[in-house]
Amino acid sequence: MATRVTIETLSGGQLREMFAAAAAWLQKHADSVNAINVFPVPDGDTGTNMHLTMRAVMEEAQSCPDEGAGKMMSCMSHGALMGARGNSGVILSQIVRGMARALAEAESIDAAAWVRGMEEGAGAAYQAVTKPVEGTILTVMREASDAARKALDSGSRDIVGILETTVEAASESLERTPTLLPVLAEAGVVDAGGKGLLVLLDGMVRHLRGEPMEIPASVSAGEVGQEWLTVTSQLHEQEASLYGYCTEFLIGGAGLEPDGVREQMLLLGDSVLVVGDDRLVRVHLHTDDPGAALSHGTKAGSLLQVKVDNIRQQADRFLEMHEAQADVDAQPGAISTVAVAAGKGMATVFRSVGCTKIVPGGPTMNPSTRDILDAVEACPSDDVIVLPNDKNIVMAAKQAAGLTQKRLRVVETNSIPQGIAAVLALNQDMDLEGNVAVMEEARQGVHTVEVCRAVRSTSVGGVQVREGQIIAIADDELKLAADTAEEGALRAVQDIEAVGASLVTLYHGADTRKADAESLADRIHAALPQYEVEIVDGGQPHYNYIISLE
Amino acid sequence: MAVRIVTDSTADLPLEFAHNLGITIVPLSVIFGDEAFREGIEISHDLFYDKLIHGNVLPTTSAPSVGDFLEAYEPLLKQTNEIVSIHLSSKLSATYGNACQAAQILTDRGARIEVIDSRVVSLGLTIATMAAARVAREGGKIDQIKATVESVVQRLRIYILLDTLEYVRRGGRIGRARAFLGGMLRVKPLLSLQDGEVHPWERVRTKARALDRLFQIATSYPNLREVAIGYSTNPQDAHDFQQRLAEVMPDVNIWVGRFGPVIGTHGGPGVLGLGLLEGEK
Repeated sequence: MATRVTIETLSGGQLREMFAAAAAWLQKHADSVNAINVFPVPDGDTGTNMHLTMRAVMEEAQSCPDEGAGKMMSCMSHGALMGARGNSGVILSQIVRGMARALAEAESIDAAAWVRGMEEGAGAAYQAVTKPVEGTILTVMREASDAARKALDSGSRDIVGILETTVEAASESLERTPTLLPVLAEAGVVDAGGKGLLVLLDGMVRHLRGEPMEIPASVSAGEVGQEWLTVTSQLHEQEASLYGYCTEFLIGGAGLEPDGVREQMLLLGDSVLVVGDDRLVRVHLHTDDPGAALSHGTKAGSLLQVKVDNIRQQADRFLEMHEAQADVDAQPGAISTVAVAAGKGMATVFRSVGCTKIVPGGPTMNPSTRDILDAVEACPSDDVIVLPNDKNIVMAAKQAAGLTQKRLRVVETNSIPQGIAAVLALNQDMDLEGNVAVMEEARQGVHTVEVCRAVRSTSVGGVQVREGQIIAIADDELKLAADTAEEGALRAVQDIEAVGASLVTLYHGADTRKADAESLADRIHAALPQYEVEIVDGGQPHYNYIISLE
Repeated sequence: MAVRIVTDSTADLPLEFAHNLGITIVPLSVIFGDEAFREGIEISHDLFYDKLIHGNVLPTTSAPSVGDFLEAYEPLLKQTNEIVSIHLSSKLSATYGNACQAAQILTDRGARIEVIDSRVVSLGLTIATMAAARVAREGGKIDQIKATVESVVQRLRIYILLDTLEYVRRGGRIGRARAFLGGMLRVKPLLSLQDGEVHPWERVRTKARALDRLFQIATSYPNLREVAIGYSTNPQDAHDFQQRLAEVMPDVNIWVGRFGPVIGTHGGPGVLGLGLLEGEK
């Protein structure tokens, strides 16, 4: 155990060094603070904003002559006021301002003056906010300064000791923030601004104690230990990593230089973590160029383990699921929609665009009025719009209207694409009749082509069909027979008159291979370059393809 | 002593234009990595959109500090005692809050600064600020200016057609339009601003149809005074839409403006915005 450092006074220059160390410590942690930023606006920039605010503080401090602690603090306060960014940055600037006010003309700072500064800082922070919210940086600052006051009142005159107590209290206070602010508990995080403040105070203590300031100090390279996992997973919580790939590897060899490796990695990306000794070095970074990172590794020694993940993709998927789910649960609309659709893929498509209930069924399996009625009754709202998505189901849907206390309207969608266009047009700000009108219009703006196998030989409107042949139906009219589904689909899409249409969506059925759908998409795009073509796994039975043109 | 008008850079007013009308603009900043650029001063629209589309780093934005507002207000107070400071929706930015703090500090020294939360952004904010500047120029009193702005703000309707929800989601300003996330189909989200927040309106599959819907919405207001059309990277869409509207409402002042970097950060490329000012009832 190292000798305990005690400090009773700080000069202006020492104060500047302490703040500089704190600012540097915050910069190193900016990403992990960004990662937990959910309040008041979840924009993931609290760490960056606080870091930039501290940078402005230090720029001002560097050009400030060392004419006493009070003067230094007042320079820093000016820097903070001018450079504050974001909510947390503004509050931080007020904390610095409060401290400066308390220290005024002091030549040097003793423990009592420091504690007064903390208290004034906390007070100024609360005043800065029109509606103070607990469970934020405000709470952490107040509880930290209360702890500092207690330590002073119990007789301590050592600034290091008082700061240690303060950091401990700040850390405990931070842990409590989710119990005070529900949005934090919901997201499973502590307050980002509070964490930034803790990092600053922690940086001050580390500096005064003369500790090395690297992240993290105690991870060994030999095995992937719990601490390594904890630290890297914190790095991964980052919402908008600037780089695309998480890259981890282990270098073995002799005479390795972890510091040199770290420098190289810092040039390639962020969230850089390099630990180890002259024989084994473990590396973690986020970069757009994993190849370059690995090739540096091979130059230094031999690569023992390599792991590369696409983080952007993972983060996007997680966020989308999380956000979509949270909202659907939180706010049922005043108007619900019920759609009839066959196939798991189709049900997923309808659900993903916000449809309230799905009734399984379709052309070959018409649902009963009872089935539709049950779905309508299960909707959380009194206003319900039913989308039959097939003309043979319209009657059953209309019948359900007479059997419920709810206000039920049927928009007579006669294909799946019409149903989807209608669901998308739903506007919770309009009333039921307004929505029926908008959805009716939306459905009419869509052309539908359905491609399936003929179940018997027939002749309709001059089109001869043999049993087992492929047929294409465009807007409910049999158009042609063909030998393959792709050929039928392509010809039907070419024949249809869809003035002004620009988008083709291919929903491929349960028995149709995705590769076939992709080659069909290419052929459509080649023949009709005015169309964008989108492929969706509809998984519907019976139909090889259901196609919309809009 | 005429009342001076202050707004922020999200009003997307060209600097020279603002200067001629005696409007002071306090800039917000866009931040790429740890490089901050003050909007309208340190980064051009073209450079910004180029970095947004082609760069590796997605920008974030930050409000002017209390100090920035003090720096803007203090010189004005040498010429007048009264300032009306009009800013973008407080639900989307800390700008309004910081302006209030600066105003409080100066009020203690005897100035009168009315800070107004416009509950809109960009073109809407432009319309409100211009109305204030006109009244101020005609020698209007501070209360009169404040009432004018409040009246304009209440008559403003804002609609936004996005190419993708991605930017507004990443920027954390998605509000209730979160309900539009997670769909398996590519859609064009049509949003509105309501009570200062982003609000879901409806979704359409294609741009052509989305423009038709915007046209229907604009023409559904019988008593329009002014229409502002904003774009980020798609001037042709904006000018075509202007022409289309001009044919059916020849007496309405319809103008086109471009979204600056801060709005661009949260809207992304390919945005079309509509600011509609209804007449007084």
